[in-house]
Amino acid sequence: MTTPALALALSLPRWGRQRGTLIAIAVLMVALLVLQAVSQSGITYFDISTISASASTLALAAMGETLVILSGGLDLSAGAIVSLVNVVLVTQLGQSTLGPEAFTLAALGLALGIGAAIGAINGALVAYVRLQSIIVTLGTMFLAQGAALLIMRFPGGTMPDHFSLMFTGDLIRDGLPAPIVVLLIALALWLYFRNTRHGTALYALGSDEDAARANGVDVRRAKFLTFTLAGTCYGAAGLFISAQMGGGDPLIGGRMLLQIFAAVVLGGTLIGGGRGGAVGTVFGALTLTTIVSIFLVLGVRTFYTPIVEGVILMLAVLGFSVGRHWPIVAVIRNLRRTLVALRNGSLPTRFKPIGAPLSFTGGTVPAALPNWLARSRATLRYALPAYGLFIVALALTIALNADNFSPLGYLNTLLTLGAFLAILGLGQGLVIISGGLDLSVPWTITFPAILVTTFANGVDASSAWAVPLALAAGLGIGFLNGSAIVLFGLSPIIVTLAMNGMLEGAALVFSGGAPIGSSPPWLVWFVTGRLGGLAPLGWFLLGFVVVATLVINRTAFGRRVTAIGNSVLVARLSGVRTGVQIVGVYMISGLCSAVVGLFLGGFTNQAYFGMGDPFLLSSIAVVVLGGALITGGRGHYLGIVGGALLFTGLGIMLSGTVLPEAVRNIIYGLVLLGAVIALRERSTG
Amino acid sequence: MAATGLSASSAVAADKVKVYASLGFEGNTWMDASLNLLKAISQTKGYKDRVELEVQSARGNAQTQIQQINGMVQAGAKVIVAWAISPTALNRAIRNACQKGVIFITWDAEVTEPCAYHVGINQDWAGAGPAEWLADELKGKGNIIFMGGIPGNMVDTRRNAAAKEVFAQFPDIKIVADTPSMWNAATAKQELAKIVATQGWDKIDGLWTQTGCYVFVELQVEAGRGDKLKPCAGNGTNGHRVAQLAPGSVPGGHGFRSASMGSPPWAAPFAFKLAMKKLDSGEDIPKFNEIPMPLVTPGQTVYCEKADLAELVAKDWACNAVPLTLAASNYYIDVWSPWVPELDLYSALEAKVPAGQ
Repeated sequence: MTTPALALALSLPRWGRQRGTLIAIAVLMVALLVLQAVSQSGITYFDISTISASASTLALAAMGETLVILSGGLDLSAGAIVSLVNVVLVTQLGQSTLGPEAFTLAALGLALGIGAAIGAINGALVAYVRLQSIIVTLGTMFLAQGAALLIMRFPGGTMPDHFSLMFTGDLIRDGLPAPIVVLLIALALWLYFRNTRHGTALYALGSDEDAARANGVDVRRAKFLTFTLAGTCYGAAGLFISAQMGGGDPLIGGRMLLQIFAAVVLGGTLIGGGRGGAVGTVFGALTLTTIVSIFLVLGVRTFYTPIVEGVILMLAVLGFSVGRHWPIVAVIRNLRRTLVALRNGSLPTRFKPIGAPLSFTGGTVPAALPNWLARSRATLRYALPAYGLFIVALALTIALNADNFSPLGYLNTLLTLGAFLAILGLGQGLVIISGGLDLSVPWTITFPAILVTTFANGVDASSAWAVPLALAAGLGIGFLNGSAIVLFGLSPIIVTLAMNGMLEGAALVFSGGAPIGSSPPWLVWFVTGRLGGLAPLGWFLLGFVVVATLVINRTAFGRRVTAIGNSVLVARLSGVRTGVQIVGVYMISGLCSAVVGLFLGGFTNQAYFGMGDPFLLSSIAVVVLGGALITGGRGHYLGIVGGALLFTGLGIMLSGTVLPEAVRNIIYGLVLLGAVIALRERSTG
Repeated sequence: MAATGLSASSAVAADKVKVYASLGFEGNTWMDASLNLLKAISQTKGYKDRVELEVQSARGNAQTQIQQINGMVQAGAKVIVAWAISPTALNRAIRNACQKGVIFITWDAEVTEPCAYHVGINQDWAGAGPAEWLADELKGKGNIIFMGGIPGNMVDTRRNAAAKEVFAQFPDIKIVADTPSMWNAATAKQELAKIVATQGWDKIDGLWTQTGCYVFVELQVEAGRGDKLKPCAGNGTNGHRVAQLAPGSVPGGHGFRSASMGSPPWAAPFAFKLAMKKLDSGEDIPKFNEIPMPLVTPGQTVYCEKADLAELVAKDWACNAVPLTLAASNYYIDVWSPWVPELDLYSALEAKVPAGQ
């Protein structure tokens, strides 16, 4: 049988595997068609060249992120490495007198070398010290950002024109833009890599690490290589952006991270690993850039861009997963069955159980439970280091300010500022323990805060409905997050990322450009007033911690969440209604963010855009510092509270000094890395 | 140009001069006021019939702003008025615009590309001016907190360096804490709270800051120290200016000893006017157009009940504060100027064109 039919039949499954990439291409085609339709002169060479130039930095960095995600990890250091490479190139080569060829070679070597070196550090810590990738890269992100600020304190410098033209000019005038060639070369290298043994190992690793190991893949080496290659990609992105800018800016990569995730996801790569590829990522980056051009031609207020981006992201991801066992199908089927059973009277709960429940006999029952210390040893081991480090920070603070340290003042600030992180830590912590991640924290803080200051506007009476409305908004956001994740089986990262963008747009539209109003006086008093020496929020925090600890560690709900984090399947087979629990977890996270939004609004007596931004990474950091496992299944709320105290205590210690921000970044990075190294599992590897 | 009938209206639109506003970010009252003033000036009688203003925001992403500037040039922009995210990232896009004959002018946030024009305050003086006042106020002696903006930003670096140069001349002035505010009032307040937690109020004699003299007042009032406020030199909002007035004289007056500077939002419409002047006359304009920086010290606050054009003219443009019911305490109030005599407070608040303009 050598008929074309057979060939087609054989090739079909292969195409099925490439569906993500195909949809990514289709989405770009649709975007380009829209651009063609709305612009007067159609798509011109100019459009192609400007879109490819604008997309290249993003595409190169997102290719690196794709590698890490395919292997089952997550890399937060991408943007900071781009910044670092940019400032090193400008400071080391900007004044160089090398000829064009030598200059380009030197720049390439420097950029790719720095990227690979930091990637190798990430890789070594993840592969050989067995740390969680998200927290390692959070640490190196701080380190790289600090180093960038040390090397270049403010934007400046120049790169020679020949260098810029080489990467961003025309290879053939009005025929072939150089960025297209850059992207093609990167893609060729990727395709070559994918078909090597290392490429296969990468996919195997992301699909099932144990299976990969059992099949003879050197898992550690594969991980190390993945992060090193990813770092090289960020180096290439740093090189390209240096050419595009023709100068240096130590903050240039800072805001790239969420866009990088968006490009990867839009490219059809599955968060969690094993499926997807860098070809789709490049198309994803091109799509994001094309959307900017469409809005420019249409002259639409940019208010709507984040909403449209969020919607496109969600639609594309839904497209990737169409028919691929959407849980919503089973949910509807089960509902129908339940209805039928209800009508027939055959609902299982109506029957009495037959016989006595199984009793466990034959096993040896311990005479007495081991004492508390023995039972809690494991929990203490990962919850205590945060408190230990906090005490170190406290001791240093007292030593540095011996002559005028006021314990009550310190405690009040610690509790007030720590409360923001401790409350967020509950929501983010539950999400992480259940195996997810909530990236919608920034705008789930900001949007409810804007609702309250706008509607209550300094009047206590109006807050009677404005505050419940804002809290309901937080719950509603969480409900939408959780439902999308559960009903369509989507990755939490994508859903919450898209939600964050849509909320940003909604807040812009709602407030018409800039939020107005002020917080109701009672809320201001609650956060900044005094009640027995402390702010009422401080007392509230104490009660909050007790209640939250009991809920997480002493209720069936808390145990179910932990069970889900360990394995959704096992939890479900054990009778946990996993979907309902997960939606509940995201609703709690949404509520926690909204509460923090209200308190933060009370703290500053206003709401404004960006007020939630600093809390995304810090909410993740406190959870991990508190000993929770980022991959889920482990965590104690008291540990997370310790993480919040440590993060706040460290901030108080550093703020009272005259250290430059670069050094502070580096200290944060070292503390994070030190803490996770101390916390790492000492299991056999 | 005297178009009659509906069919001609699109042709007229095509004949209009295309002016683009490229905003690096969006979403605070300062940028909102700048944008409203730009819209208002384009609707005054000098420009209404011949200028078409379009606005794009890059939402903090330098790549997006580069792409938008390229797109504006391609779409036939004659003038681009920009607030640049980065002083270096846009340079090549700007050079391309200049080569195509576009007048590229920035306000407040400068770029290093030499073909661009700029309207803004002297950023060195923005740091040094308030620092000199604070040093005088403290009689050259005391412990101060130093709060910059965003580390790594050029404006931030210049202001900080100039201010520190001033303080270095006073050996008895000691910077006891140096921390960034990220130009974010909530961050500023959190950082100040942290500093006070370790240093205590008694040791601190004053604050030099790029954001948040007003939150400094709030913190002291919350700590029960509202009767002996410590001096502050820094960025001025309406609440800050009002707080400078004597207690009881107006709602919000605290008799606050402070120096209040600011980068005025009216720089945006002034940049628009300058670029249009160059386009109309063909005469060159200076590359750097320094505008006066407001530096309001105690006794210089001029409280105006309405700040409409009539009152502004009647008070010879001396107004620098309005009732908190008109503009919130966090509103950057330097939105009017005799340099842009067509506009008033309501142009900034609602993009309204004053009657007769």
